Amino acid sequence: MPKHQLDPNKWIDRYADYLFNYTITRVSDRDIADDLVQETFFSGLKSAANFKGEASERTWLVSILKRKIIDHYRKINSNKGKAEVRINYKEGESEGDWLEERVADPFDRNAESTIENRELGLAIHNCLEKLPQKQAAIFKMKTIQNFDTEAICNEFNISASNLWVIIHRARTTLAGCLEDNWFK
Amino acid sequence: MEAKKSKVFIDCDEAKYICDKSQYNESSWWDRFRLNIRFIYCNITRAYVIRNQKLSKLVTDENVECMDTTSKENLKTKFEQQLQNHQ
Repeated sequence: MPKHQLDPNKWIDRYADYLFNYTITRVSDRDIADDLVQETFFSGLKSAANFKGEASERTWLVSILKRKIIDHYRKINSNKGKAEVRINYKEGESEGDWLEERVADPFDRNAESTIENRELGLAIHNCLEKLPQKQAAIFKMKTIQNFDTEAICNEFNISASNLWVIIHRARTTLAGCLEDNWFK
Repeated sequence: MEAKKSKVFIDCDEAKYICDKSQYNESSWWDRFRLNIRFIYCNITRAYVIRNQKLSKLVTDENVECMDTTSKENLKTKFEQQLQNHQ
C-alpha cells in the first residue's frame, strides 16, 4: 500500500497557487509561469502511472515542475553553459520517470528542505494550504490579489461582516502557522 | 446606535476587527484613532496589532504570488478536458 495517492481532480485547487509561486520566483514572467504550471499538471496526468506513492502528491508535482523549469532555461539559452540549471538530471531520464527521492519535501527535516523552506513565499503557501479551502481562497483574493471587498462578497455570496470574520480567522491561523514553521 | 459608534473606548474584539481592516486600508481615521487608544493600555490588542502588521509585511515584502483567477479558470477547463480524455 503506497503512502500517498494521486487525486488529479483536486490538483488545480490544491497546488496551482503553490506551483505558480514556486515558478514565478524562478522565471519572473507570469505568462511563462502559467504555461509551466499547466505543462506540469498535464505531464503529471500523463505519467500518473509512474507515481510510486513514496513522496507526497505535491512533492511529486514539484519534481515535474523543476524539470519543466530546467527545460525552459535550456530552450532559451542557446549556449548550454549559460543555462541557469540548478539541478542536474541523469542523461536519458525519460519524462514521467520522476525520481521522487530527489525532491525536497518541505515537511522533511533534511538539508535540501531546509534550504527550500527558506523561501518564505512557499512557506506562506504551505500555511495557506492548511486553511479551509474557502478561507484560503478569500484570503488570497483579498490580501495577495488585492480584490475589492465588494467583489469578493459577490463572488462568494457573503456579507462584508462575514468576509472580515473569515479574514480574521485566516490571518490568525496563518500568523500562528508561520510562527511555528518559519520563525522557530 | 449613533452613541455606540462614537464611543472612544472599544473592546478587544472591535480592536481586532479594526486592526484587520487597517491592514487593507479600509478603516476610517476615527477607527484607527480608537484602535490607537486601546493599543496604549491593552496588552492583548498590542500583541495582536504587532503580529498582524508583521504578517502583512511578510506577505507584501515577499511578493507572494497567486495565479490570476482567469488563468486558473482557463487551466481548470483545459485540465478537466485532459482528465476526461485520460479516463
